[in-house]
Amino acid sequence: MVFSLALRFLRDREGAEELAQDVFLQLYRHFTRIESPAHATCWLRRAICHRSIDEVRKRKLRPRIGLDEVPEPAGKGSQPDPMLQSHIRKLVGSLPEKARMVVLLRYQEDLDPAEISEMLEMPVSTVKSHLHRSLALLRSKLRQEVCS
Amino acid sequence: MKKPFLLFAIILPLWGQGFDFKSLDKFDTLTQHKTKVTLDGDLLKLAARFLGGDDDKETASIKSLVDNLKGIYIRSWEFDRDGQYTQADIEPLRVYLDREKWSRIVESQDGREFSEVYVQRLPGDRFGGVAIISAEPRELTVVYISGVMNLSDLDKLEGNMGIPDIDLKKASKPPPKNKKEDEE
Amino acid sequence: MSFEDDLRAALRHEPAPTDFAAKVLSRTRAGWRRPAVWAIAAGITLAALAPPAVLEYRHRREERGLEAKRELFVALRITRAKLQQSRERVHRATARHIL
Repeated sequence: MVFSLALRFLRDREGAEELAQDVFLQLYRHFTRIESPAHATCWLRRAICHRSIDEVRKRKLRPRIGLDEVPEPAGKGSQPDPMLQSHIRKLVGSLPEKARMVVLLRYQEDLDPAEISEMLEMPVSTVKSHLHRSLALLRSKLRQEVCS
Repeated sequence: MKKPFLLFAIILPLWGQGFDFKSLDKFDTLTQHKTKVTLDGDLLKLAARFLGGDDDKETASIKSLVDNLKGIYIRSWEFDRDGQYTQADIEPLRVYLDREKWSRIVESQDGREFSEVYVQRLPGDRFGGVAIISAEPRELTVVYISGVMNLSDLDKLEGNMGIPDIDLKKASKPPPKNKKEDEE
Repeated sequence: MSFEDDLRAALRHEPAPTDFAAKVLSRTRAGWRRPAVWAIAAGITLAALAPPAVLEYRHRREERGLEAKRELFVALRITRAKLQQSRERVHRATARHIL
């Protein structure tokens, strides 16, 4: 979950691994505050969300290699349309940070808008607005690219 | 010419003693063309989660309806000939509904087809459930929906909600063979 | 499959590299000196890395969810059909009565 969220958000395997390690180390240092495995999961998810968003903002200040150039990780198992899924992941990666994280928490982590609102400390209406706009944008971009 | 079908919809309350849906399982052996849906508790919540609806008004409308439901039960059988069931088979259900104080708001007959719609009334303009009985000579359908609804929810149930129509008979039959494959 | 189903499929969990846990543990300062904490941290790290069993569970949950959604749509279609049928029968019966 932690690595996967970071990877989908940053679209950078090395960066995602580094960030995920940092988050687990943070957990280790604050371990005495953790009350249960469920608390740990929630804490980890929240930490990786906020750290990922911060990381992207830092990268904007010091540009790195283009994220689109990073090769897609190898697909595993049988998937209906690997090309389509790879393309969708790229499009998700092109969304603005907050919207991108909202989409990942909804469709990767299966959280509902109220849970996302709490995780990212934003109003539920803002979460829903991000979802609505992001889906419309993703659909439209996918349609354009399929047609072209 | 298509013969009329008898459809039974049976309303089965889930609370209180509850009606035993299994008493209708005997019809399963009389036909291969049947539709069964049982969505209650966690399964209904899971279905609601996967509805999405984040950018689709119609799906959001379905979701807002489903979020307040406790269970949805559908049983439908299509028989090859008349007389596969009798009124006596479904009378216990009517008796049960009557005992649980459900109100029959629709009772209509058209030749050999008849329909009954029941609701469980709650204070105000709300309902605790909807059940439908539709009967034809060769088809029996039971619909039971449990959960708090209002009049607009009932309208939604009768409306399109963006769900395309489906021919139940086609849905219950195996898909046709691909002609091209046969020719090859 | 709807677009949202495609999105879910595209965003399925990606497992961490196999040496991830070892790398995390090697970065902890205490290392072997606090074995109880080390063991607990390792447990949480391993549990949170989504081992194959957890991935399988999530995959099955997704399949169950999509199946439940399909059944829900079937149920709503049937309900609509029967309600409309009831209404039509009432209209026909009323029309005959008037005539």
